[in-house]
Amino acid sequence: MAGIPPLKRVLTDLSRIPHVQGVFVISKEGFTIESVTATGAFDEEALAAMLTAAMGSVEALGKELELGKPEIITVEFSGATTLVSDLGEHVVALVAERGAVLGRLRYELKKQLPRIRASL
Amino acid sequence: MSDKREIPTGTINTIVAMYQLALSKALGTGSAALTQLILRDATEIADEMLKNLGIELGDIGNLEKDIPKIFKLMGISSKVEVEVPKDATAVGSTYVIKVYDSIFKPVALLLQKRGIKFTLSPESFIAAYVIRKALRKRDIKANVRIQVEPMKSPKEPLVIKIIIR
Repeated sequence: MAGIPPLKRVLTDLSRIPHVQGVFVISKEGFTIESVTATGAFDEEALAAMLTAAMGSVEALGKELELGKPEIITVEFSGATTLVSDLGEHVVALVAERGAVLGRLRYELKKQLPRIRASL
Repeated sequence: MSDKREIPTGTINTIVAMYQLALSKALGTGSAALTQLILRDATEIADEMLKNLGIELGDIGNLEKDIPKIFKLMGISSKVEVEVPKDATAVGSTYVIKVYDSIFKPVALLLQKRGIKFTLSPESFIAAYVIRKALRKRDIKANVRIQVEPMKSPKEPLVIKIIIR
């Protein structure tokens, strides 16, 4: 994968996990910085804004209830599973089909966070 | 007797401040992200609002003149300066809008004191909306992002940066 920017390379690695449909690095202002999608069928603008807002909302919840900072937000929709992790000024989001193994998604995402951080 | 009523500025500012506080409380840092989505999804409402004021955005041609004119017609501010970037359509180019006497200034100052970002700033939304509309006459996919500089003193203008992305 010579010539591929480091961030794109990490996201590509994550996108190879079975059933993963898309991986996104999003700024806290709600803009996609980098993404790799399997189908290309995402409204990335809306996804970026809504997932950033969701992360902000959970952060606010943690602060209000003194629960600490969120590490990973997992949302299981009827049609997909979404994981969002905080990276300070950014978030990384992973969208997978319901058939994906949740434990593997969480493990791989956590494992790749240092690489993503280093690539930003 | 006319049905037309004037709402006191203080009432409007209280409402705007309350909404901003609620949004910031609920969404924290995520409130800025939603502004971008509002910009995309509220075009019909914004069009209607401007139409009611007799402003047709199809006529927009000179942003340096048109943005101050719109702010004046809306009763938001009578002194607005617009710095148009050299390359007015290139990604990364920044339009700088300085609003000197905005009716929403007290909200900006109040939020600044509390350390809350004014992500619902009506001035920034209107400026971004008009610039985006003008850019889309050339490129249908043109988009912008909003950056509102923190307002430190009542003497300073509110500085809004609209960045093409």
